[in-house]
Amino acid sequence: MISYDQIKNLSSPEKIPIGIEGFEHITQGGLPKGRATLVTGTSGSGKTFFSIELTVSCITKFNRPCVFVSMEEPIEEIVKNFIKLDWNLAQCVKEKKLALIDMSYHVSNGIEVGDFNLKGLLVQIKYAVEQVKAQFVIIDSIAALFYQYENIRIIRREIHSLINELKNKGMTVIITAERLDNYDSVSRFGIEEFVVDNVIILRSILEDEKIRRTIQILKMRGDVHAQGEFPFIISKKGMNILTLSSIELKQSSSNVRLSFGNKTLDKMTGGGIFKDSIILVNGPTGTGKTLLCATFVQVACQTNEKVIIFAYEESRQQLIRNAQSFGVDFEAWELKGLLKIVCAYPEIMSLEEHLLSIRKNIDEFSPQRLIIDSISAIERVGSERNFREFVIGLTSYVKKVEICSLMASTTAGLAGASSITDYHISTITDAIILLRYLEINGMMKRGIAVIKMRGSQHEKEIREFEINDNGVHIGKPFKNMQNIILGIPSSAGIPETEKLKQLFDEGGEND
Amino acid sequence: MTDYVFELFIAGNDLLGKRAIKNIKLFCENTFQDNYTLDIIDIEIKQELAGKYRISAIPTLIKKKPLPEMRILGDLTETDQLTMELNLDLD
Repeated sequence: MISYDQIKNLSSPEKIPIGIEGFEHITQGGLPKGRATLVTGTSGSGKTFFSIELTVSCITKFNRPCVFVSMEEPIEEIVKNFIKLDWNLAQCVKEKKLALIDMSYHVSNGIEVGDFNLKGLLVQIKYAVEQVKAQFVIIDSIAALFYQYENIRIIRREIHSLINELKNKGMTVIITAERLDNYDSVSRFGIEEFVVDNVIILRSILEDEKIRRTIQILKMRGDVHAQGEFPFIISKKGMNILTLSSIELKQSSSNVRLSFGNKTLDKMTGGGIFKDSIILVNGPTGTGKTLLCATFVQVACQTNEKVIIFAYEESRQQLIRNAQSFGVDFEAWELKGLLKIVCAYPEIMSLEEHLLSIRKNIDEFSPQRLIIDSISAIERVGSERNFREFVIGLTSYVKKVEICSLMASTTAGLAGASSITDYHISTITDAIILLRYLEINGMMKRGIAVIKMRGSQHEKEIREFEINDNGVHIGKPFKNMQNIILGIPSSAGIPETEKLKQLFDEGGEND
Repeated sequence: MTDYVFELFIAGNDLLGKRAIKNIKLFCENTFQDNYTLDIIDIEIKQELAGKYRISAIPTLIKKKPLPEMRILGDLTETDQLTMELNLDLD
């Protein structure tokens, strides 16, 4: 029987950060110290990448020496593969922070005659641990042992004792193992069941012709962690886990109002937009969304605010030329360092990479305002779920850094109708401005309406929206018309003569 | 110089190691009489050698001579299998 003295001083294991972007967030602190963690995934899911980044990161960011045992790839190959990422394994070895053990299968282990154990491997690891005073032991991949030896029963027993010996020495152990299917039993040889405390699953799934990578903490003994799969991307800067669903709605709200660059529009929104709000401008193609964006840039730059534009529909030259035609000189603002234009085809990257690129650009430029033209262009890059995560990730980020953001979205039809973008985004945005075409007495007109303005009053009228050489021009509210927003305007039943008179009664509330 | 040269890697007082030593000695006495050399290397004492010779499994027997060099692991209890695997051209 266990006595009280044996257990009275036990405490739950301390978690240690490993420095992979987002990992501390989903594990709520890192890997439990002195425990064994299995990293499993199908071929190409990033197991070796994860283990090497973990190794390099622990050494360079936290000064925790590591022993890395490679069972599949020869060490020389691994070192070569990661030079491009500026992960200098050779330097770590030189500084005596890293010991590499090559157990790849190029020398035959020999013919098995009778019972054996893996003390040779254990001695090699222990020796390496002493040499560099290691705190981590990473074995990539432990499952290779099952291919290197014939007697599976012995290997199972020996893996168990190997990992226990390392844990007893105080090592934090990370082992990898391959699995055959993304949603099958955890690992091929059932290692997890008898030997590890924590299980991490990496997935690489082909979805709509794009690779989607996710990471999941399947179990973490004796501790809490974030549930579910988190998308991650692998770039030259390493792994980046996007922790979207864990973002809290705790952003502060600002009372400072900013101008749209148009007096009537400011009036319509009850005095301008809040400094930290997200505005969605929605309308069919050609209604003037890009023009509103240009106006937005102009007013910001004039008041010395920095603006960043992410353009996914037009090239840089097109953008500049178009703005010029409204009298907005993008290039001049760029020269003053107040404007940054980022143009990209939506298809060149995955949504996760787009998000990362947007974040990176924001961090580098630190703008006060942001424009995305258009958010609907990005929609076609990934699946619906993918897109939702992107939108949430983006909006929560701009809220966090308090950037006034304007997002243009194009509706599918010429008249009315919502698109998927609106569906995902409308609940997160603080203000929604609709631009619509309307056909009145054989004339194409544009209408503008503010349909949502969080934390403020706004006009309920639909006004006429005109574009001329001077840019945006917002006219009087349409009177006696119905169904403008729904797409098919009709007269509200007043005499024709009166209607005509009202329609062409110009003047009044212009800019 | 003897015609048959073996190295046996063991780890401390490991039971399998002891068994392997006993078995290989008996096998060599019976098969080669005096015409053999057997080096026993304890990797717990000479830790760096485990890495140098890439020894993972214990016990590991390496046949150095006659060539080709060959590795056999296990406690060598199956003498018949050992004879067969070593593939020695004995008279």
